[in-house]
Amino acid sequence: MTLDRFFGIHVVFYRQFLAWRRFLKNFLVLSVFDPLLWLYAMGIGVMSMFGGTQNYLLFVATGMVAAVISWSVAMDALIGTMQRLEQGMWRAVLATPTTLLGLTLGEAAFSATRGVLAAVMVGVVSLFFVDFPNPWGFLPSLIVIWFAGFALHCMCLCFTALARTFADFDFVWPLFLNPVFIFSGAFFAIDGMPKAVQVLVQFFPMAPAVSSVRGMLMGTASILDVLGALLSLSVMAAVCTLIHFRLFQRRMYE
Amino acid sequence: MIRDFLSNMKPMLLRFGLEYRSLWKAQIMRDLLDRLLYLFAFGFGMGAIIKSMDGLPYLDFLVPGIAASTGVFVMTMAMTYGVWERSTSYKLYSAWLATPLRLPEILMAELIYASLRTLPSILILFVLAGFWLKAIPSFWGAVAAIPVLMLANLAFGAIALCFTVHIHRPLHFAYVNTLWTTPMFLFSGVFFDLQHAPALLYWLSQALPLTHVIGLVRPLMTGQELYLANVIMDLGVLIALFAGGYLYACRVFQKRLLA
Repeated sequence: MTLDRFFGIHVVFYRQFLAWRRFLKNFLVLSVFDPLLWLYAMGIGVMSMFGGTQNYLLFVATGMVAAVISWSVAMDALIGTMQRLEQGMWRAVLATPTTLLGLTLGEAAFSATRGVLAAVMVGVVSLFFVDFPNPWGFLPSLIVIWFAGFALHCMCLCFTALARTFADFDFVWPLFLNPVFIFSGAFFAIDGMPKAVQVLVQFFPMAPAVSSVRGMLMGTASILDVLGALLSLSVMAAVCTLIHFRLFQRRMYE
Repeated sequence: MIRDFLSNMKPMLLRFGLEYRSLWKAQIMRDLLDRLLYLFAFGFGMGAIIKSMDGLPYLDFLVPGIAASTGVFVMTMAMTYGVWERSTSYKLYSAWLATPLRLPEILMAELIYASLRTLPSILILFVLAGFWLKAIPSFWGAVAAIPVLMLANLAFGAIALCFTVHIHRPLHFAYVNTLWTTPMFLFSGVFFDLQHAPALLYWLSQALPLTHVIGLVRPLMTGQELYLANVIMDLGVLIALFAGGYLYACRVFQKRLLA
């Protein structure tokens, strides 16, 4: 009964959690250390140029809180999913009452939640050396971060559905993920970029997430900005779900 | 003895050449696009905020650093995940060692192949940066930088091998990226001038081999002054790291394969 109502999303979520428990320690170290290094390097590097102003550090820190999810989410959606497909885990799950939609969305929900955990860690650590104008904005921003992780996972699944081997991801990494990460506006304002780039990045999850999270931590975002970001992230997730659902259906059943 | 070593390496290099023939498109894509992305993103993004760095236009400052960091990523990937896959999943090491080849020859061939593999990417990067962005002031300096980069690749590869011989679970390779490659990329003066960094960071950066590569390549390519003492020290560090890392990795890996 309940299984039908949620397509089994909650079951898959719980399964992912159980499978992930033993990597908890690795995950926390890896997902926090990398962003903090970027934060420190970029903050110090540019700060040394402008004689100790904290503005740029604040800029990078507020962006980084949102951008940090992209690493773990993408890893799971591309390589993790491919592994589960090849090891037959997906076939096994689909033999239960869980449907394909429940499987993909359950995994996406879990990987977004895990991304939020990484964002919390980075946010808490950066509280120690960055003065956020509005630290309480961190709590609502976690919702935006969750939606961004969910949308990014759904987008990456479209590539996974098409990939035949792990080597195919060599093209996804430089052509899709790194541009999405670097042009998310976490490191420098996208206002300085060519117009085409500015428009293009709005179609990918990281840029709206970074700008609205930054707005909330700075205390400049209005409720409409946040709702707009949530809406556009949901639309991205919905469109990509339609696409990857169709592709996976073809791959698994036909 | 040296002649045996070289003649045994020939079939290995041929084997890697054949492998490259079917993989070259994906290889260049992966090696080059990432570098170009960082070049454009930071060259134009950061370059909009920072007009000049260490007396150079920011783009001129950035190009040698990006070129030098290609080797760090490519070599580390090839010598960690690559060697792991070939020695465990595909069992290629057992197969090679069943022939007259010995481990030092195999590892040397791996290092040479992987470092030559970066050559097309670096050349394309140089051509784009030099002729299109006009960010390489000294043409002959760029030509002279290529052998330095190849030596640096060998050193990075040898260090990565030292990690690989001690790693027993592929999950732990992620730590090599987080604790070694990323800090090196960020703190070796690729993006900013280390002279103005805090003292602690300056001394930390001196311990990273990429700093010494950039210390050679950047003056060569931008026409800054190059002091003989610095050249000898930087080259010495790279050669010592390569030789030490290679010999150590050979010894430990030999024991591990026999165990």
